[in-house]
Amino acid sequence: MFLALKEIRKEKLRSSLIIAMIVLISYLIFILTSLALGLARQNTAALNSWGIDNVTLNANANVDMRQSLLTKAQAGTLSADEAYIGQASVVAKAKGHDNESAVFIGLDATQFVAKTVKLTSGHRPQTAHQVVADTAFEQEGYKLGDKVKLNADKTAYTIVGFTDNAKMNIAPVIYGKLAAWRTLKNLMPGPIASAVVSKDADYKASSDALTTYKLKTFINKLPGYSAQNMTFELMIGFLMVISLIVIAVFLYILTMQKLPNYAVMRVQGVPSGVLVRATLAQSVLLVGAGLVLGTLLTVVTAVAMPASVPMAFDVPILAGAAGLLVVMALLGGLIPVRAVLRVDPVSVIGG
Amino acid sequence: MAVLSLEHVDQIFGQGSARVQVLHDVSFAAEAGTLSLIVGPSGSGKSTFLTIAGGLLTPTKGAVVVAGNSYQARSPKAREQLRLGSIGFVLQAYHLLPYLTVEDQFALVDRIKKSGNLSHTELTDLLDQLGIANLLKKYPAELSGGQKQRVAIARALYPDPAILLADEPTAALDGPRVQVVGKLLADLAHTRQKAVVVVTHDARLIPFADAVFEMTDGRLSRVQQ
Repeated sequence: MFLALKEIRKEKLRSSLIIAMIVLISYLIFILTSLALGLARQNTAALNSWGIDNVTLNANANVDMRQSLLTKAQAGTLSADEAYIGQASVVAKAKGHDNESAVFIGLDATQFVAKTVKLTSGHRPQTAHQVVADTAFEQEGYKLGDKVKLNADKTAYTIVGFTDNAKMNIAPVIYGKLAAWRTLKNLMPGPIASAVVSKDADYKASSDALTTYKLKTFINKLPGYSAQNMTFELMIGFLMVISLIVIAVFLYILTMQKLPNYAVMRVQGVPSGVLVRATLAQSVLLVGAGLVLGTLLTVVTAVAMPASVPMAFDVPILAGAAGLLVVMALLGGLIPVRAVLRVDPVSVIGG
Repeated sequence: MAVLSLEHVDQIFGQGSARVQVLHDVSFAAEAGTLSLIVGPSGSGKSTFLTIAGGLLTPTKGAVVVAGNSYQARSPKAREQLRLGSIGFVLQAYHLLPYLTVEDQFALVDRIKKSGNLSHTELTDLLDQLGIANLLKKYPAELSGGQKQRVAIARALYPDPAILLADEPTAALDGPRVQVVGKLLADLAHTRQKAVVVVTHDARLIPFADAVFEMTDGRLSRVQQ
């Protein structure tokens, strides 16, 4: 540590350049991780808030709730652990506001999902023309009592409550009654909901026309969800590999330049273990400094970022990414260790 | 009593047609309080002698005894410890660590060898003797060649070794400075009771030596007492 600290202090420009590179890499990793997490959460926040285990859809709906319709006869009798969900994609329109794409979720007020929706203000819908909207609407300037029209429906729906963490497919959710959902979908008599969701892990659809999917399977089949996550995972993985290569290359070059110094220290009786520890310490110190600055930059970004940007700054996950970078630094630092161990002190004798 | 002795040392490099015998039956002894000079032309085996005397190379044949301890009987780690405690090296190009101040060059020794180093007072005396007491905060790049050499000597003496091995310490120096370095090495040997062994091709150092040996084609012979 002594040698590493002294060298970093003396070689300020060189160390600063390496640290600057680590700052950029770590910042990029933190931002991409937060963006990936934010987008993933905005795809599934509403689903996760219901506390469900599985989703039952029409077998022909290709695991897509928007394409699914089911009848009361198909759904059978529901227990207290099951609830109907009616999903419709809508465009919310109101005077003085831009049109807002949203997901309408029709609920039966007597079933558990309607009861799990936590309000930040207002009350639950009491008529078919009342809705509870995600706080994204509140951030757009909507207030309790404001009226919105959904799609081409002439009905004015009154916002009677707001709820947070109500996002699905990266769109804000508007909760209303199942009757309103049927109106928005222009349905003929028959279909009662898009899906049945259940808290019971053993629940199975009673009709052959329906299929029950575990929540994880359903989420992975959300449009674009898996592709988006894989893209981010690939980018973050590549960045990790790039950081490993960059750290290893820089340390290798630095160490190679110092081999004559190491040979002198070996002549003086400095154990090779001290030199190896100095190399690894230098790697960890440089990456540590870069991570601290990268974290500060990320914190500034988190504060400055508008709420509409789908980013989630999860400390344990970001700490994990930082930990991985430290592991990469140690791995990168190990590459030149072989050269340090093989340094020949005799090479500096005899001029 | 000799603090450093080489007994019938042979050193052979390579095998078969590439076999080269660099040292032939070399015996040598250095006592405390003496300056011994090993002179000879380039390629005569002086550097190999120094690496063997310093425990950096195990001889093909023969024995090396440092402060009563045989090198051969020791593990590489124990040899490192013996070298750290008993032998100080002054290398031709000084080789001070560029990112350590003069002060830190000594601090590094403290971190590796926890005890037996010069006390603060003794170090101050040594730095005064070498005329470098005012350079403690300087980096090697800020020192002149002569200052670097004196710092290298101080660093070599800081662990209070019984033996000081110097490799061509006057290689790049002009006449007057050779006299200064010669006198300094002789003083260190006499006043600090060190066995100073200097390997050089510089005959200008001969007047300062207590004993002079000549290395010719790997054979060592005493030429002056």
